[in-house]
Amino acid sequence: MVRKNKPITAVLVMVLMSMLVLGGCASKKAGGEVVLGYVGPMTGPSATMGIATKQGAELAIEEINKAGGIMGKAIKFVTRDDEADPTKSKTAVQELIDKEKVQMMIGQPNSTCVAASEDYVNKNKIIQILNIATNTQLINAEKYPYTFRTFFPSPVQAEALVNIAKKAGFQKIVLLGDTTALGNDGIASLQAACKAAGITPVEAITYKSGDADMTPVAEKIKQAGADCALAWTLGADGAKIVSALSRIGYMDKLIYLGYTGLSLPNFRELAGNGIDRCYTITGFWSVDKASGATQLDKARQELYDKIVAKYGKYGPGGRTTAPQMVASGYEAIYLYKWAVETAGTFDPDAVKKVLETKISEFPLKVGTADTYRFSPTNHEAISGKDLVPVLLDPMLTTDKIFGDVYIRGSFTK
Amino acid sequence: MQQLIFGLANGSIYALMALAIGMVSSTTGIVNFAHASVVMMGAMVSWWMMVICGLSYLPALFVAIAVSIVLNIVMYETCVKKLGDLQNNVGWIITLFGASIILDNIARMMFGTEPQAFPYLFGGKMVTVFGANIMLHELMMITIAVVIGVVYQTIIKRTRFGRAVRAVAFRPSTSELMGIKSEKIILSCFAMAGAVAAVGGALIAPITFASYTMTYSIGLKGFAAAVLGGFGNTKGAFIGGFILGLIEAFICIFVPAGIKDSISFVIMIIVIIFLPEGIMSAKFFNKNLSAAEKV
Repeated sequence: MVRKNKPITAVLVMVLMSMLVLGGCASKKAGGEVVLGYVGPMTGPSATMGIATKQGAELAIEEINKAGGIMGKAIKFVTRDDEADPTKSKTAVQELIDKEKVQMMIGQPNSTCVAASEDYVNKNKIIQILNIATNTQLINAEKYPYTFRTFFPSPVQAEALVNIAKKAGFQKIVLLGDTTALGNDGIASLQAACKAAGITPVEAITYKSGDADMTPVAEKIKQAGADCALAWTLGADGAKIVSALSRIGYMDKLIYLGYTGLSLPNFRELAGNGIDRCYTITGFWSVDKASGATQLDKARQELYDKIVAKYGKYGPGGRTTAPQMVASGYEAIYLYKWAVETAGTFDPDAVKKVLETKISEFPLKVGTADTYRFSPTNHEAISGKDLVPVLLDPMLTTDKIFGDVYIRGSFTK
Repeated sequence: MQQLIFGLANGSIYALMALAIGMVSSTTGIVNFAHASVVMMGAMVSWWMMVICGLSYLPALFVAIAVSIVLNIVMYETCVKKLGDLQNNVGWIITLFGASIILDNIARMMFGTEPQAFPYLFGGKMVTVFGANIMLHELMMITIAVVIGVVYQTIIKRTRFGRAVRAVAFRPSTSELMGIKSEKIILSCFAMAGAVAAVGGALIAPITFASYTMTYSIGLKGFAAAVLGGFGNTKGAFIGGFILGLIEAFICIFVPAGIKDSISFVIMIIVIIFLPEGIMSAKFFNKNLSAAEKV
């Protein structure tokens, strides 16, 4: 009897084990996971932008996963370092789409890297949110239907910079930008803004990004007799130019007014003595000290406190990333979560439709502006109207609240 | 005046790089593709010693020189010597490129990815010369480079060691038969190239900032200067460096800074088409010189 029952017992055990295994799989499938991706510079001169976005996204994902994920699915976050190299960036994006099967990506901070892979992202119907890249050409609802931007695009920043320079009464303005897509776009935007404001810049000066010595650029600024440089320069390049202007003894005759790329911490650390004549613009991540405020608005202050708790205080040996950039990565994840949950599906076309038609309902106000304006024909969240609080201050840590949040200021020549 | 000084200051770094490349190539016939990375390591070690260890400029530089010498010797022992006959085995192209990538990655891991501010000599003090504001640091760059170039040429022309170097450069196998230990000579040249690299790195770092990518563009120009002056000809390579610096400085007056490299390389291509062995191969510079004297 015993011998007869042995095969039956074995079969029963196998069936039970199979059920357990399959049951395990089934229960995993019911929750499952959604894969979100990010490719950006984690090393090299642009690393602070890449790391900031990653930090913000990871902070958001940790919170979302603790609260049950997106529609019951846990978020798996995959990242790659592209070193701000468009070729490496394109390969990494393709890998995340083909192998990791990402469903949403936060766009690279460097415009040239986005440009290199944007076609592939859109062909694969991946929802892409650009939280830092500024190039105008990157947003085109017809050409890139799945790409959205939540940051100030080049024309908006250029308009703000030119208006500030005009209001301050500068007479000889030079435009500065590198020869990459970023710089070309910046110069073109500045030229268009100058034309609109009735200003004729004395010269548009270009340079090769990453050039070892920026003295020739400084010499050109000096030869032009400029009293203001409107700079579309990234942190390290901008710092080299300011350092070179100091070397040739011209920095005290000039105001260096740059787009948001100058808010990179390495600019402050490297620019040397000329730093007290360098200015930048920023958005809602600033404190209106003049009206008595000592903190950011409620939502942003809460996020700022979370950033400090998670990544430490800003400064030597501590966090090197700017809080508004961390916030933009954080916001991008929550924006996708909200769009998916509002659509009730992960289908990219449905998510896209929600972003285009219901963005005014997005509740989280921690990004670069409070009101976003996506539509089926416009994938730019922010317009010139959002830059009303143009905030400008010497980039000295002593003039900042908490060491890394700008104080709103006024500007005179 | 300012353009002249800037041209000479940048040229001095190209000259030092070309000189060091020439030292190695004259005795071995190979091109040290990892040289720019050794220059970078020299700068990063100097920065580390000054900022982290609190040493002053000169002691920090001496440590950097020692480290760069060791790096170059290790590179010779591992990436060059093991390959045997360098004329028939071009594996050194790969091993030295590989060494360059390894050094860059080591620097990235050790010193981080962010560029670091590097102090100028004399605290960045400026002087006015013929109405132009010039940093003492730039004058020192030129002076130090010229002193190194003159000292090296004196050693090569006037000393027993120099004669041995020239003999190895001219006829390596014959010099062995005459009792010259060519391997020791080559090793010495690698060590000297390492020392020059560290000095060049510490001098250029205040301008480029110290980072593992700091020599990506100037490294190429160091090779260009070596070719412009004449490969294997240390005097020519040195002069080639200064010429390249001056070309760049004066071109910038007429063209946008963003395309200056293209124009500089067009001029270099033209020079090399007419003088394939570099400017020092022109008859004007070689009236009564034997082949062995052109090292």
